[in-house]
Amino acid sequence: MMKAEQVVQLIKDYVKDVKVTNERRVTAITDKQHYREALSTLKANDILHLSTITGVDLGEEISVIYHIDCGGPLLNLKLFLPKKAPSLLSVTDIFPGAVLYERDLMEMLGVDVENHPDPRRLFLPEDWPDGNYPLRKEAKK
Amino acid sequence: MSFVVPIGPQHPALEEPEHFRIEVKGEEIVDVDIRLGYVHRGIEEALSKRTYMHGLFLAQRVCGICPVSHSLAFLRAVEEIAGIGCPDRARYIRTIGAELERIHSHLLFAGIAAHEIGFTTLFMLFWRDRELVLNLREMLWGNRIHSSETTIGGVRWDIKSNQVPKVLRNLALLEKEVKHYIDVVGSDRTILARCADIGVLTKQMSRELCAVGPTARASGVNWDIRRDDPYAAYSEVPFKVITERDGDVLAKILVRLREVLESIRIIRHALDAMPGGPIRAEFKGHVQEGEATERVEANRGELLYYIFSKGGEKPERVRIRTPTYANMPTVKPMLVGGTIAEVPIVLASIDPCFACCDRVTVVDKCTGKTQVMTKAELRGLNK
Amino acid sequence: MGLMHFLRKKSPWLLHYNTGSCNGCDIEVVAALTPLHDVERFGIVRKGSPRHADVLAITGPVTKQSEKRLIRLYEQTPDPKVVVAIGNCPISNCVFNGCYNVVGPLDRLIPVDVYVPGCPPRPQAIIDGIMKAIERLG
Repeated sequence: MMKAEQVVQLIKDYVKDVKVTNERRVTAITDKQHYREALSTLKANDILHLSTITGVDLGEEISVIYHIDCGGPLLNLKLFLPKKAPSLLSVTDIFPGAVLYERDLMEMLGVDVENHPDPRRLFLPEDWPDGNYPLRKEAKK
Repeated sequence: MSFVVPIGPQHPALEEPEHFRIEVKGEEIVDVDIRLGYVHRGIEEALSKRTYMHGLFLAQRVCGICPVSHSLAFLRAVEEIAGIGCPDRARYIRTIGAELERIHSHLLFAGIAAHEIGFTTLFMLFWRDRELVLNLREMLWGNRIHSSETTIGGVRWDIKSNQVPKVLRNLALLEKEVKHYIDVVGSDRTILARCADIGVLTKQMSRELCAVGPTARASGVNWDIRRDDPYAAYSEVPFKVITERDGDVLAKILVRLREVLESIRIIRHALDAMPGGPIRAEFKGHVQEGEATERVEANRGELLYYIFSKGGEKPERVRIRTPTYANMPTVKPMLVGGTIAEVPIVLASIDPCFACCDRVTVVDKCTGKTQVMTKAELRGLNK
Repeated sequence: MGLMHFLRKKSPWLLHYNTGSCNGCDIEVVAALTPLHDVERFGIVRKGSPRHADVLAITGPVTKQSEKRLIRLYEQTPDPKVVVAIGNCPISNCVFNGCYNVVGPLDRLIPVDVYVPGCPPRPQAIIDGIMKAIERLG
């Protein structure tokens, strides 16, 4: 079982603004340049379980949160993307279990996940209009 | 030849949006594709437009088989942000509610699995015994299915001492039956032929694909949110995390049946050790700014809720990741290399939400032709 | 046609279709089959194909993806037929009213003969609703 402080030590070079809420919850802010390294470091330390990926429309930005079970603490690794051009690289090469969560992020929030092995729609009907992302604030019903 | 294979007990074989597209060469499955969306309603978006109390009723109805789990994850995230503690007695009642749900769900699953391999009598027996649990829920909380016993800050109704004997009596009856079923499942030649070494998910594949719940535990992954990120009263109640090694359909069935026995023990302990006191902390409807991620071990595995609040009566964002969603990618390695006759039982073995996985298309890479097969015809392949 | 009506009433064939429900109603429809509730004592048999159905038992608030199939199912079921809306979702969309992917309630899309309210309704109520629908057959 890992301790919260051990998790922080593992990723400290790739994050800023780390908050250890308690022994079981850690939130860390990263960015596009460093998030993959943070995830790879975790994986290299036998942390394999990506619980899910959450996208949130914050207005000018879209935040993407990777929720990772570190065998004790749950790490919320967060980065912010500009809403005008929200894109990042797929992490399915690091966490194969991310494959569906990234499709969800693409269709619900319009985040461009580059290099995704299968960028098709997941939940929305085929005839749902392109460019209408249901979880964006400006979405039309 | 390509086949449309309907799975789930109630859906006719019509042409519609398929959830799984299976490519075969002859009898052997070579590839599996996932298409979801049939039950997509738009709940996450709706939750951001409703107050927390109003949203609770919606969150419960993501799934009619595990509403207690959904409530608990949602509530705990709200309580975490709002700084509300749940009274001790309520934590025990929540535990009892969650375990009753686990029992009914696992028996439901066992019945469906039996049905998928043609054992209609066993399906009826499992669902007959499941009524013992539904009767308890109705007695304790007034409804068989959406019992809504949990609420923000605690639970709605107390468990009265004159209700306890009936709970213990039904649990004793169930325990006897389930022990017998475990013997049957582990020794009946037909069940073994249809379930042993079928739909195998290795431990390594399970971890790589981030599988959850009994599906992962059947592959030897020793992980259970109740023990590893405890909530309700689980840190105070002793219980075993059940795992199996082989990762096949049989292992997935046995894990769930053995978990029913553990659930019975947990409920007995919780009834015995339950402290007195209030059952509900006050919630005024307003939540401050903040965010919380909470998880519970739902019947099918890790259920995660993330809530982001900007302060107010409604959440800014609610993210729900259900266990069936997490387990979807495991269907491919379980099916590839097997035959189409195995498709219904292998899909059933992850205990999917029925309507999430009610149709399957099979495509033959060689000929690309289409044929519709009913479930009865598919089961006939096993004879 | 008196004999046909009598025979039909004796052994109605039921098609159960989920248009996106949470499964709460569906498991109670299936529970209506089990030994305790036992819909088969009324001669009601669940069938897989609409072409053999007399009674359409529909659950769920009708998601966009299920709409076309629902209507096709209704059209493929030969007359006389009756439609039973099971649960609050097909009646009013229940808690899903206003969700972006929901196009119900059911009677916006197909005619409904009997409404069985509840979330979910008990198996006894479901059987009762189906029996009332069968009274209207033929």
